[in-house]
Amino acid sequence: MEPKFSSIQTLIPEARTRDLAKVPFVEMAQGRLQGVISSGSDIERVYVAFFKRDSHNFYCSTNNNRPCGGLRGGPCKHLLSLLDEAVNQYGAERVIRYLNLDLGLVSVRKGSQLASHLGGVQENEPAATVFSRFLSHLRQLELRGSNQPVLEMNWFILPGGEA
Amino acid sequence: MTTLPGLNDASIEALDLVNGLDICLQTGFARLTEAEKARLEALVSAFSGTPLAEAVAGAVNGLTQGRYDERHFTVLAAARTALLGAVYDDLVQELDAALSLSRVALTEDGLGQEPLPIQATIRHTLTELAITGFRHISGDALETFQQTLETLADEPALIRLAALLNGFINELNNANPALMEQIPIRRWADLWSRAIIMTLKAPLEPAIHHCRGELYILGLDALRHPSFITLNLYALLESENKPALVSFSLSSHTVDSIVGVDIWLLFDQIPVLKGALASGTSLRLHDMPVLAGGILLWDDRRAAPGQRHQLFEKAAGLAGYERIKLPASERHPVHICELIAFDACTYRNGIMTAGDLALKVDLRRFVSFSPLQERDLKGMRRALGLLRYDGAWLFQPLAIETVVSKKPALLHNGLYSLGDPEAKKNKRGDAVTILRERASRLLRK
Repeated sequence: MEPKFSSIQTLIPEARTRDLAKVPFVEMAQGRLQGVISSGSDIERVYVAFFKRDSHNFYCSTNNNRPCGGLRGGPCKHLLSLLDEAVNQYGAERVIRYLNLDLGLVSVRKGSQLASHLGGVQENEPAATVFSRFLSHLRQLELRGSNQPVLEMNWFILPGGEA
Repeated sequence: MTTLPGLNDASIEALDLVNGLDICLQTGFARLTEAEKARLEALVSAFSGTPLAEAVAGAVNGLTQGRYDERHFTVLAAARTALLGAVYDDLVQELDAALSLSRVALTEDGLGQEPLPIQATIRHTLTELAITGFRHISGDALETFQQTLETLADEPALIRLAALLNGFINELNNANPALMEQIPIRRWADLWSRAIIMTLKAPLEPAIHHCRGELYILGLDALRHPSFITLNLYALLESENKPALVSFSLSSHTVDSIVGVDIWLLFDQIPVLKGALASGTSLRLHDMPVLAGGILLWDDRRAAPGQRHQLFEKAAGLAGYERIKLPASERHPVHICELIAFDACTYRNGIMTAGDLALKVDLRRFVSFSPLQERDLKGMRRALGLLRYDGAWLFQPLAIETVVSKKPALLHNGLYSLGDPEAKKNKRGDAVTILRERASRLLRK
């Protein structure tokens, strides 16, 4: 199907549908699986959490840089939710590949199952960049659209069908 | 069985020159081997006797000797555009002959204004990218681009350039070119040269007319990358003049986690249009702005619900309506999308057959918000869609008539514009509402 010289060779599949209520933002970028988790108790507060791609070290803090109380030597519930939603959004295969995990034949139904395969330790590292990336992500939705033809979009397809 | 004719010899030669240039963009002009320089030099004789002859000779001479002037790269982008434009001309001509289509060419926008400072900045960064080469792109270079893109977002007049660059840079960011077995060089070189061309002049205000009449929507196509989505609609406009094929686009910025029918929630300015798509009714237009080539500038307040209609009845005789040919500077095979309808067609193993014509179906183009998926094609009897070209002719279904419980049923991409009637509602809210709520709390502190 793919001609050798294709103008619309697709590299990235569309994300999968998932519930954004608990984890509004997940991404695999800047060498980390990172994201933002809404606090269950305070609607104004969010947690910023990440696993590093190479070391698998992790951290979770509020957007005001207070460490998460749930970190007691291991990933807190926010980090587990982050793994769950990463797998929901990208599929287990892409997450496993990104984190360079070798799970053999273990099948992954829930992302948080991956936690026991990650050997990292807590690494207190401010995650302000994750939060600011989330804010620019949100700002995307405030930009005005257009009713002009945008011919250049002919180069972009995201296979998102069920086929 | 027949299929549509392929490339002629001149086009095959043109694409070979394009490939030579693309290989140089992959390696980076600072690292060209002798063999790669020779591929570049082939451009000089190919363009001799054309208006670009002198510029191409100068650019090739300069670049092979290590003089990386910005204007040399601009010339290469223009030369590449001309080559692919010729391939477009060839393909469109073959298509028109095979299907008896008639076509009118759109004229160029005219001389533009001096580019804005941000366009110059972008051209400079793209030049650096070409010197480095796709294979050797570093995270730092992309970081610079990321900042430029945020500034570009504040310039609504440059939304086309922003849509293109956001998609391109996102792709480079997600790829790891140093380790990739095969870099998508045709594609990345396409995006690179189109971006260069778009930095050369400030966009012009186009000439606008107004139209009225009854509009019958025939097909909807969606194109997207993670941060931008464009809906292209194709329709028949019946007015006092003769009926004509028209098109229009609606675009929205978006984020990667908005998928499926939630995508429709990004388009909350078009309730009348969405109602018509979901219910299969026409629209009565008054004073709707329209550009040359029958391209409407959709304003939902200038449309009112009309009457129910049968899509495939309206699509009869589609081949008889006049088509457009893009202005020369925009021509490229990727932009070929000819609306066409087939009666009595069947589908098997990726191939659609209608009469003695057999066409590959483009299976990459089914969209997540549509009920129309590949599995539905097996039962189809009639199909309406776009003929496209990507190394081969491909058919992209936008609407089909199939049989459900022995009754004809219509499936099309716009059917769920008001939501999927069978889907369970997510009690905690849809993606768009959740993200807008988060924005209202976190962005305005």
